[in-house]
Parts: sequence; structure tokens; C-alpha cells
Amino acid sequence: MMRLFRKERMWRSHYLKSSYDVAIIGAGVHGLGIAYYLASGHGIRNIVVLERGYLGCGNSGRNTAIIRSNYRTPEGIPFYEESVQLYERLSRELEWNLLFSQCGHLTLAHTDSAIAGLRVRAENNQVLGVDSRLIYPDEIRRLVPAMDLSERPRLPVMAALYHPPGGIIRHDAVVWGYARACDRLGVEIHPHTEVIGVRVSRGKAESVVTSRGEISAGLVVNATAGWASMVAKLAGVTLSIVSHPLQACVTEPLKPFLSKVIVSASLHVYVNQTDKGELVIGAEIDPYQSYSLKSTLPTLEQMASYTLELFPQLSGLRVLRQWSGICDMTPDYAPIIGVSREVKNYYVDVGWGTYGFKAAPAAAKNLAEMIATGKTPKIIEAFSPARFYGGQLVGEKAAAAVSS
Amino acid sequence: MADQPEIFTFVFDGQSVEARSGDTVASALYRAGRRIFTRSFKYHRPRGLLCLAGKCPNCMMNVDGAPNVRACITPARAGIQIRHQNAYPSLENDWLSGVQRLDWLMPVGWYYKTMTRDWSWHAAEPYIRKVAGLGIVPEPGRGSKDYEHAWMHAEAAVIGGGPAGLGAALELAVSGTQVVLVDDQPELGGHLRYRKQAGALPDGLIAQLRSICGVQLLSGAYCFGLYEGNLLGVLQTNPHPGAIERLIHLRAKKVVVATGAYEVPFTFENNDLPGVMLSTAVQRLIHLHGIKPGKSAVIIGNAGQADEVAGDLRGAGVEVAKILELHEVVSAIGSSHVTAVRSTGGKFSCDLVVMCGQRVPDAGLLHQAGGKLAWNEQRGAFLPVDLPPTVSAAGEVTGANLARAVDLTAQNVAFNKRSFVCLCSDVSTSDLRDGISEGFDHIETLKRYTTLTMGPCQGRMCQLAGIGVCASETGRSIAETGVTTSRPPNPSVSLGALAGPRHHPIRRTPMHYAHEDSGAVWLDMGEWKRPRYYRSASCTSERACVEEEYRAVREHAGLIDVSTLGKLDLKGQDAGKLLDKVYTNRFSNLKPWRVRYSVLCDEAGIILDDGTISRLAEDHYFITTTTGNLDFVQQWLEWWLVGTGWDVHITNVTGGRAAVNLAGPHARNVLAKVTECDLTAKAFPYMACREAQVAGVPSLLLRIGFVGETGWEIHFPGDYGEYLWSQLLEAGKTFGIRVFGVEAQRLLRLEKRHVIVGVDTDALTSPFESGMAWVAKLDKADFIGRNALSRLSSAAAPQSLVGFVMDGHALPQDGAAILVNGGLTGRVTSARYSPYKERAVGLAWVAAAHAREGAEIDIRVDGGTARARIVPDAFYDPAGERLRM
Repeated sequence: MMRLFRKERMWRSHYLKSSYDVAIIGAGVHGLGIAYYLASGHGIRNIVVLERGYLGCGNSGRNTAIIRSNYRTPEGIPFYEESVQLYERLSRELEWNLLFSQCGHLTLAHTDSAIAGLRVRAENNQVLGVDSRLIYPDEIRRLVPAMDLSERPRLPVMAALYHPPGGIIRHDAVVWGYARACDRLGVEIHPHTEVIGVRVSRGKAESVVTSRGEISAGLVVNATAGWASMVAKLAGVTLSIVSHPLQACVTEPLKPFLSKVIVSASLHVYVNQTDKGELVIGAEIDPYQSYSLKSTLPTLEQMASYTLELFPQLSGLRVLRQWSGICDMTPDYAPIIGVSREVKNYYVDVGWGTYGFKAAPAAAKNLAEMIATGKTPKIIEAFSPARFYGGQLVGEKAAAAVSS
Repeated sequence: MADQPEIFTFVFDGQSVEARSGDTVASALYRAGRRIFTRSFKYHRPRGLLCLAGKCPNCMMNVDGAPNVRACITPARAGIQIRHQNAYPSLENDWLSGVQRLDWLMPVGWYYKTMTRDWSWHAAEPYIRKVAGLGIVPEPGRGSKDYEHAWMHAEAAVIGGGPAGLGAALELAVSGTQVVLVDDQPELGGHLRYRKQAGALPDGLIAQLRSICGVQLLSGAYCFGLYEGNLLGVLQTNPHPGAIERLIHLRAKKVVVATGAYEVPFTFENNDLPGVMLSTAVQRLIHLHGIKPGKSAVIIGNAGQADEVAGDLRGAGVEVAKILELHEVVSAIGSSHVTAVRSTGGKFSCDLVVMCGQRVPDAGLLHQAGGKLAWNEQRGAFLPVDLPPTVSAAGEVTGANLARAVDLTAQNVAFNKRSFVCLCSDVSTSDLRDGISEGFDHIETLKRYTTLTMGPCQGRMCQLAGIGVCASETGRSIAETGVTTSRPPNPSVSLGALAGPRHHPIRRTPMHYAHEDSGAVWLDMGEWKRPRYYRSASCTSERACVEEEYRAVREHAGLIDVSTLGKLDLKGQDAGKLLDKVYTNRFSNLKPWRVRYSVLCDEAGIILDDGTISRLAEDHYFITTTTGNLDFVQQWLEWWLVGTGWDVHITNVTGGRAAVNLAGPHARNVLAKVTECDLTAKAFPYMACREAQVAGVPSLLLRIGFVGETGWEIHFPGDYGEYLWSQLLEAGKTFGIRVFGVEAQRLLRLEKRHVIVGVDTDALTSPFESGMAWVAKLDKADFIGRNALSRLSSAAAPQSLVGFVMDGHALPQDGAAILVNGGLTGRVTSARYSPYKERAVGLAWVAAAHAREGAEIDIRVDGGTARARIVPDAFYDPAGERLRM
């Protein structure tokens, strides 16, 4: 109770020192998470986290906050499952309620072939111990009574992949929770400090040039999203990434009527109702590459149209705002985690496409372990930057037709 | 108000309410004596009319079942049903109104700081959800579809029909520019309609505008977004009796934003009590609706606007008890309605408090267009600067006529839990101060932590005051503090309007009704309807029907409608060159009247589609694509054609052509009865094509064999669909011909191990691992995917597509997992019971280590596993003899 009325600063501001053991670029869930796990788990505390804008201003604050582990591949499933389990403990660990609501996650199938695709995921999930199964309209109706399950010519709801542990979280709270914990552990967080260069000498990063001065660093971590390939280029590191905008929108609040996260790949849309009552609706990535954060009307119209396919009674509900984030897409829709080939002390935790938020704790924890021990944890081996040189792609693209 | 107004009634919470023509729901309710219009989001405090301009959250109601409708901008109509929101059982007696006395238990961010244990959060969350939210969602099936979309173009669009907008429109129009003027009020004139002392429109201005050809006036329409390329989203309410809303996509060469300014409230204790209103709201009640807004008023504000509104109030018969400057005000007093104002100079009884608030430029559109907002101390507002060249601003939105009404940097903000900045989410000045002291001192993080500006008012009421608190608490200037990003849609827009009429075309093949007559059970494939199978008197189950159709094809003859195949006609000298570039197989050397199969890959060597390509002449090819990928393949071909300068013309002939596949041991006999074309294996071999008359219909015949029997795919003009279909069935009668559907076709092709792209392949499949290496001609000149395919051709694939036969009688489902020694090693893509093998057979992806001929695999079936064996060849006719007969 006392905590409720205590007014502590979440994180302090510091003068930028001239040297740190680790410089992390990007103060989103990944960057702050890596700093947190390095400091809490490996005793590495002389860390600086550099952020161009305010904390969580990138995709950490722009995603639709969906958490799940019902992925498709033997590489992806245990990794995202570890992330879900870390999230389950994180409110307690950080002493900061992340409002994690494991309300259940439904991926809808509207065609026979979509059912087969979902069955692959259900089967693989079950074999690997993730709670996930195919359900059919009777059960869907019980779980989501508000959804239109009527027989209709276009895209009827035929089945769904039901993933009870999936859900939504308060995304900003995760950023703030990690940031506060980092601060308590002695990590320095520097918002409004843009990285404008990385000095590399003989294949080794020596210092990071920021808008507030140059700092030397024993090791550099790129934990950015949206512009990861451009940030990497500052150190001469090339990434197999193309960047696409992804748009989302939020409506006015309604009394609770939808307790599950609903995803439809065929309809390119995902919908959930927050604790506050708003509907959060996300789209598929825009079909073109761009760094523009401007929203577009056609995408908003599509999101509305597809949402009404599932919930026609919402036609009078108003959209309050739309926004976009930039997604770094890799050729196989799997992330790039590990040490770069070009610069031996330059680590990357990038290429997070549309799934970075839900993976943050697992990615951060394992990369921290890799940085601290010099050994690659098995669970992130498949995501190494080296895979693009050997053609060993991960098979998540097959399931990633829609972003959530 | 010279004319006698028309009187009618509507229903509010079961009670009849009288309204006059010109009334909004809110004005009629106010006239009838209602003062509480809703309860606040968090603390359930009573809230009454504040802005009367649709900009605040204080009058949201349920109108005819639609939640969260702003009563103050909803025209009253006879018979409409209005219900209150967010209060139970009534607005006056709300069970949750006691929460406001517990507000001290809810400091900013209280939910982050408590319930950090699983059990406590899990226990509390359902209750938090229950009390949150505003309106009630309509019952399933209630949504209206009466929404329209429209498109307009203008040389100039003027947004706002006040004096500045009208002036700008007239100036453009007289210079010969085609103008569309968008105004959100029921009548033109802007603030001059209700601010009678601010002047009047020049006589005849509106009539003059209306008389100019090339001027279009859209009243009752608001612009919610200014998107890239000057695309304006315009929403028109009730454009005609058949539509609720119409969304107009207005593209303009030049945009003039003349949206004016809106008034925002002051922050002092109990500033949210019903009876505390903005001065412009009071003026609207008096001048637009003829309502005396109260008996005795206290006015808060600086001389100019305070004197103006005092005149209006006295004119309406309201006593002005006192005019106070903001810094004199301590609090408003009252429980469900204001009864007095306490000031440093004493307490003043009243039933109305009028705030002459800061007028804020309505510059959201300009911000969206790329303009910046710069703080102007003298105007007390952020003013638009650095506008893009095709967008300009006129009138009060530029800051003209605005004066500072409140000193935001003054250190006299009253920090109080009941001094509200954000009315949407009940965020007070003390909440903001606490958030800032916890480190959320950037306006964007403060916004996210406190939810300031994130409610239904979209920041209109609270943004400026919030910036003020942030600036004074952090010691930064207002300019340094800055504004949050303006995002469209603003004002908010309904999902229905955005979605539009939502017509869903259904595509039916020319033989659709013949299938219906034959008892077809339908399968939806994208927009298309295809017969899945045909009901038959002799069969009781789908499987039996499918097997009957299957046997007809294997033993006699079968006929299937394949009109849904994508059909592209390629003409031109360089058509072969384009095909060589885009498809993996080689086509420039294909001889006329021959057919070749190919896949099409992306740059990574992933199979995107497959189909047959027939050469009809030196410069003429005919392509078929899979049903779902037609649009994609056409775009893909056109994309790769761009910039080449090649002579290729691509015509999509899918809609105009019907197609059938006639297959089976008797297919030749059947076809021979209706064509004079020489069908002998020598004259018309496998993978050849011919043009010929079939039953008198000019047709293209392809001798190909997806189902594994001798057969012809016949393409012909769609107009003859039903005719040719019936002629072929008639001709086949004596040979035991049957129609067959997609399910039988899938079984037939599976026995032949023919792959269906998208079913047996996925977004990572290359030709090599799927056993189609022969289709990638790596020795030809560069083509899409060649680099990747060359590398893949020599790399060991991690998995392969294999055929399997079940040991026992289990039937796996498509998508079932494959295990070896309990470990996950693959998945089934297609599995069916094969009448030929008398076992289930299928295709599966299996890890390369286990993908050996004869290897045993376990397939998950009904929760357990069943043993299967990998086989190398097609299950049926592996040598393909039947195809070539």
C-alpha cells in the first residue's frame, strides 16, 4: 500500500561519461531488457543505453501488445514460449504491474487450407508443450459470443487456433518497468541522445559518436527497430533487412464485450479490447518499403472493413487515432540475434519484423548471456546473422502471413 | 427564430422529451431541464454540457443503439431513442458515484504500482474491465450497412465555412478555380452564427458563392484527415435518407485550412461540475437554440470575451452575478451541479459558471500535412508554421484575433485531485504533477503514463493545459515542452464509414447453375464458388460421393469445371523472353502447339505459383495460373515487364473463358463424339494443344493430366459454358461419364503425387526440396530466382517433400505432425484415403535425415500416432502410361 503513495523517480538523468563497458543503442524493450539482464544476471553494470527520442518511442510503444508462443517452427516455438514464461514472472520481478492479461488468443481460419496451416501449428505446439489447439464454431461461439459466426459467402469463420496463454500486456509499462529496474542496478539511460556514428578500427568497434559527444565502449549492441539496418551501417555492418510500415488504430472505449485476442490472417487484421475498453486493431505490413511514419487512409479503411466482417455490430464505433511503426523484415521472418561478422564486438538484436515485442524478454536474456559468457545459447542459435551466408533460413515466414 | 418552430418529441431513458426544429439532442435535453449528461470514465463524477461543439466527452450517449454519440452535435429527430451511458441505474443516482470519494486511493499510475503478484492482478482485472469502458456494444447482428464511399477532385479544397473559409473560397472561385468547401456545421457562417458581437458575414456572400459555377459547398461534413498527396478524408452525415454517413475521398491540388479555433476550459477545483461551461457553449445555447442557459451566472475570464458573453447572458435574461479573473478563482462548489464559485474575494452563488477559455487554433490537419506548431506567447497558442507549399491556412487557425486567456507558465496552477485537465480519463493537475515527479517529464511519456490526450476528446480539451502543467513543473518553456503528434482521424470516424458499403462480389462460373442442378456442395475459393462434390442418391456421406466421382474418372470418364483457373493471353515478339525471365522453365524454345509446365519463383527461389503455358503461335502464348494467384501473377509479369521496352501485351481472359477438364480412360471416346479434331495419341500427344470446334464451339484443347488419366483441358468462350458442359455430358452418357468436384480432383492428383502450390508448398518452398528440380532451368540466361536456385541446387536441403503410405487404416489430417523416435521431424500437407492403395496416402515434409525411401515415420492421428512408410514414386501409375495413352 505504501508503494502506492511513494513518489520515486523511475529513472534518473546522468551526465554522459566518456567510457562504458557496454553501449546499447535503443531504449525500447529489447535494449533496456539486455541492459537489465546483463546487470541483474551477469553483474555487468557499467552500461549506457542510448535513445534518439524518449523511452519506448519506437516500436515498443507502437505495437499492439499481443503476447503468444503458438509459433510454427521447432526453432520459434520454444523461443517464444520462453518469452511468455518470462513475461508471466516479470510484473513480480520488476515490482511493476505490466497488466499482463492472459486472456487467450484465437487465430481464425476461413478456408480449408488455412485450417491445415493452423493444424500444423497446433500439432507442433502440442508436441513441444505449448497449450494450443484447433477449435470449431461451437466452441468459438462460447469464447467470443460477439463475433459473427453466421454462414456467409465470404470468409466464414470455420475454425480457430486457440492459445489460452496468449494475451495482451501494457506495452509502455514493460519499457518503464525495465527502465526502472535498470536504473536501480546502476545502468545509465540517456534519452534524446542520438547515435550518429560508430568508430571501428581493425574490425573492432571502439567508440560511439552521439549527438551529445563521443563515448568509448568495450562492446556495442544494436537493439533498434525500424532503422536497424541504417544504424548498423554506421558501423559498416550490413543486415538482410527491408523495412515496411505497419499501421494500427484504436477506437473509443466500450464496455467489455471481447475478452480474447482475435487474429485473422485471411482478413489481414487483429483485434483486441483493452482493459480500458478501447478496441485496438492492427493491419498487415504495408506492401511497400518505406520509412514514413505517416498513416494512410486506405489501410485504415481496410482495418475497419475487416473488423466489421467479424463484428458487424461495431459499425457506429469511432476510431480515435491511427499510427504506424516501421518493421524490419528479414527474408525468413525470423530475427537476427548475435554477433556481426564484420565487427567482432558489435552485437545485434534486430530484424524483429512484427514480433519483436512479444519476444523481448527471451531475446534480451539470451543475448545478455551470450555477451557475458561468449557462448551462444542454443535457443537463439538458429537466429544467428551467419545463417544468411549459408542459406539456413528459419521457417516462420510460412506462418507469418499476418503480424500477430 | 422568426418562424414558429416545429415541435416534436423523442425518447430519453424511456421519457418523452420535447424538441424544436434546429435542436440537437443535447439542446433539447438542456431545455427540458437536464443538467447531468454522462458520468465520468474513472470516478463516475457527474458531467454536463461543456463545449456544445462535439469536441469534449461530456455528452456522449447511446443514440438508437449506437454507443458514444455526442448529443450536442446530433440533430434531434422525432422518435429517436436516446439512452444514457456509464451510469447505473440512472445519471442522477449512479451506484458507482461513490468512487469519486475514493479518488485519493487512485493516484496516477496506481495500477502499475499495485497488483504485481499474479493472483492479485488476476483477481482484480475482471472487475477493472467491468467498470471501464463507456458505451455498450450493440447486440450482434445490429450493425448498419448504410454507409457510402464517394470520390471527388478539386483544384482547391477549403476546410471550414466561417468568415475566413468563405472569404478564401470566394477569392479562389472568382479567379476561376474550382473549389470544394467543407463545413461541419448545419449552416455556413462559423462562429458568427453564435458570436453575435463578433460581426456578421457580408450580405449575400453565401448566395454569391452558391451562384458561381465550379463552387461546391458540403455542409454538415467534417474533414478528419489530411493525408499524403492532399487526400482529404471528409465525412458527411446523413447525405440522403438512405445513408447514415458518406465518406468522401477528396483529392485537392491546393488545400486552404480555415478550421478556426475552439475554446478550452480552465483548470480549477471542481471545474468539471455540471453548470461549468465554455463561453462559446453558452452563446450557442442562447443564439442557436433560444435557450436561457441559467438564472445567475459567474463569468471567469479576461475583459474582452467576458464582456461579450456578459452581454449575451443579460440579453437572454440571465443575471451576471460576478465577473472573475482566473487567478481569483479558488473552486466551484456543488455536488451534482454548480451552486457557487469560491474566489479569493469571496463566495458567489450561481447556477452557471461561464469560462472564457483560451481559444486554440484547430490546426490538426495542418500538423498532419507536415506543418509545425510553434508557440506564440502573445496569442497564448501553438500556431501553424512551415506549411507545405500546397497547403495554406486562413482565419483564426493562423492565430488571427486570438488573445492569451491564460498564463500557462504562471506558477499558480492549483494542484488538486479534483482540478481536472483531462475530462475523458479524469486526469487532474495533481496527477500530472505526480507523473512528472516520477520521471515522466517528456510530454509524450507524460501522455502515455497519465493517458492525457488519449481519450475520446483526442486531446482537444486537455492538450494545452497539460503542456502548461508539464512546462511549469519541469521548468522548461512551453515552446521546449512542445505538443504531442496529431494523428488522423481527428475528429474520430466510425468504422462503418471507413469500411463503406462492404459489397462482397461472388464469382460464379458460367456452369454454376448446372452444378446447382446436379446437387453441388459448394466450396469457397477466394471470391469463387466451386463444387466441392456432388450429392448423389446412392451415397450417404461426402466420402462416398467423392469415391464415386473418383471411380468414374479412374474407370470411365469424368468432367470437372476448371473455369476458375487464371487465364492470361500473352502476345508480342518478346512474349517468350518475358516468360523465360519470370518462369523457371524455358519457353522461348517451346514449339507452337506444345504445352509446358512451370513454376514461378521469387528472388529467393521460393515457389509463388505454377501453371501450364501453351504456345499458340510464334508470338502468342496462353498461361494458366492457380485460381487464387491470378491477380498476383498478372501484376508480377507486368512488374517485370516495366522498363524492358519489350513487345509483350498481357490480357486477362479469365472472366471471358470457361474451362473444363475431361479425363478418364473413355475421355477420347467422349470427346470424339463432339469434335472432328484428330485425338489419336500420335496426332494429339500428351503436352500438346490444338484449336478445334467442340460441339460447334471454338475451343482450345490442352492435352494435360493433373488427375493422372488421359484427358483434355478445354478452354472456350464463357457464353457457351452451360451448352458445352451439357453436350459433353450427353456425349459421355454411354461411357458412364460423371461430373466430379474439387475433393475428388484433390484425391486423384494426390495419388499421382502432383503438388498443389500453397497446399503442399509454403512460403519457404523451393523447387529442389519439393522434388521438382527439373522445372528450374539453371542453364538458361538470368531469370527471377536464378541466383538463389543455383545455390539451392547444390546445397543440402534441410527437408524434403515425400510421399507416404500408412501401414494401418488410420487417416491423418492435413497438417498433422510427423515424429521420428518421438521427436518432431515434419508435417503432413495432404492426406486422403486412396481407393487404389486401399490405405491412406499423402505428402509430407520430412527432415532430410529421415526422408529416405522405405523409412518409417510416425504421424499424429487423434492424439496418438500411426506408422507410415515413405515411398519414392507416385502411388498410382508411376510411369505415367495412362496419361500418354
